[in-house]
Amino acid sequence: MPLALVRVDSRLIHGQVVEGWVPHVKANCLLVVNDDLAANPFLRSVMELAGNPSLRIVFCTLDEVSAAVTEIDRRAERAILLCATPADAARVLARGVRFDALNIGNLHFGAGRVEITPSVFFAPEDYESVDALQRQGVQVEVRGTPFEPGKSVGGGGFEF
Amino acid sequence: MALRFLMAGLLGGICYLDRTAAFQVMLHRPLIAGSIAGALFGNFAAGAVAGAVIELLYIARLPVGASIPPDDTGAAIFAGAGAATAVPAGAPIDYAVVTALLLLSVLCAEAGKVADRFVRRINCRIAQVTIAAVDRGDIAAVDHGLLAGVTLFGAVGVALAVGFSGLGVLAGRWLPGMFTTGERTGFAQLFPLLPLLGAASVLSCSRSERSAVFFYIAMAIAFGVSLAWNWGLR
Amino acid sequence: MSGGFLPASVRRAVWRRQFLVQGCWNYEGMQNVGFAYSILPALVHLYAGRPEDLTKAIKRHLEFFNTQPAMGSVILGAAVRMEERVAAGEEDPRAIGTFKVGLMGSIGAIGDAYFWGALKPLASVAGAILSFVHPLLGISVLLLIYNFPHLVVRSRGFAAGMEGQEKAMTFLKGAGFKLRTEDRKTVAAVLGGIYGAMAVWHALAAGVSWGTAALYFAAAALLANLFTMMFRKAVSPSELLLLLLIVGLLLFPR
Repeated sequence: MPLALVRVDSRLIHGQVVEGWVPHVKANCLLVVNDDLAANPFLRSVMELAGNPSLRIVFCTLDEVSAAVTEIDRRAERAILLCATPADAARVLARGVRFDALNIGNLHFGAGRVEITPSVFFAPEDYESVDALQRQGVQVEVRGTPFEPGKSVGGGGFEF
Repeated sequence: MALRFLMAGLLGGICYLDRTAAFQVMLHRPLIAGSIAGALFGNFAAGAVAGAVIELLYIARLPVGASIPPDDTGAAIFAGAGAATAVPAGAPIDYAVVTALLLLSVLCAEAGKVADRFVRRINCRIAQVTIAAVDRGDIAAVDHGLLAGVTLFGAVGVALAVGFSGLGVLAGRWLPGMFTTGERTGFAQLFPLLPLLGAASVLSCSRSERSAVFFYIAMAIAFGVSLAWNWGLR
Repeated sequence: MSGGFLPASVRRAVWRRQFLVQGCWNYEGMQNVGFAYSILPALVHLYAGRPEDLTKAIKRHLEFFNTQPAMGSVILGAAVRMEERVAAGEEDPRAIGTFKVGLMGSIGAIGDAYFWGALKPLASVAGAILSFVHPLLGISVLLLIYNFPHLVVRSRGFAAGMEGQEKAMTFLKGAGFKLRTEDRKTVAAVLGGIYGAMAVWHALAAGVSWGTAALYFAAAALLANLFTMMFRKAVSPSELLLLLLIVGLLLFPR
């Protein structure tokens, strides 16, 4: 299994990922699945600065995700897949990339969003995506860093 | 005594402000907070020993995003004030009492973390009010909102500093009667484990094989040299 | 700094204000109020006599923002530069938001790794070791090791940002954070080893045999290895310390 962790994070690559999760799951690759970044080479080049010789950073669009994961598998790397929203995570699953657990790290606050944890705020469509993921057997957990306890998101309806 | 607590609140409050709200020039580090608390309650050196041990215990817990590390500033204020109260200035350090204080300081570190979360929650409200005021065209609200946040961080910092140094003084008075004191009895036997935990914390900041090799080589050389040096003297 | 539109006094005010970027840190917007506060003098100058544009400008800096506070200087400088261009009608204001949001994560990651993950442990362990020589020496060394690079990044990063996005990138690449981060972590590990040796030394009674000393050392090295593994498995230091407290109370009751 080339994917050590699948994570939803509004900020994609940042300290919690690079200093927290990368060493914790012993990953050596970050796969950023995001359609907006594909069109923005400047932002990609800044994000690549967060990598190092033992951490390769790869970008792909949602449509390319399956091929990107196969390539990571071929290189025998352990990767963390990052996407910005639960909807994107559901799309990754729909494109044939199988994963059993989803980590939700940060979803920024916005008008009409409901607080799940101090740094995760759900919009109505996030509930739908999470529900859809759970119906397909994905365990969803809200957890910022490996150092703090996770909060599992209950099956079926929404309870915590 | 009242003056000492006033100073503890003032200087501790500055250390706490440095932790998150202002500057981050490392005035909040346990070595400094512990030494200050020690000096205020009569034994600078004892406070520094307590601070130097706590300094490294939580070093691998990074303040990243919404993840808040344990409050090692508060732990150091508690242990520094306690050590200074228990050990008279100039007397040899009573490691049994200092060890007990260092272990108890965990409770302060966790309590301080809860207080920190509370401040950051209240600040949500301040930020909302600020945004609403700017919407109405009140530009000064930005300065006021920031000032309110800094004031809240500072006020909670002062309260924690006074509270933890007070608890430290109580513990420093009470503990010496509770334990077998001395260099190598009772709790003092656990003392070396604490700096060892700190050393492991530093090592765990790095994942490279190279760091681990360097760590153990340096440990062996430093130990060998100090051993040889000491035998040479005898 | 480049000859922008802002007088030096305004740039200095923004530079000073960055030290309070976390002053109103909150879960919803994180450093949003702090960032707006920092950039405010520049906005007031650039949008003088245009109150509606000023309000809009402040509002866009009250959006969610969070990065490592020292590295934030680069983004702050670049944001000031972009505001100059927006005020002059040369740039779309929406580009500022995209720029800040795009940069804050990765720049934060570089800063977290360098400042919190490498420089702070290095300064701490050096200070802790030297504090056994004299506490004031330890404190001074800790503050110096950390703050020299800290203040250099705060000022050079801000200046590079003020020169525009390209210069900001050149600064981030040229500062060699990756290399420095690994080097600092290695030096910190070496000092950590010395600090660990001091702990073993403390445990030894005077006049023990070489054999006993070697035994103590082996036990300490094994324990250090065990603790490191536990920390890497995200066991919290507090849990280990509480365990030690309970062990102590059971072993040494009174």
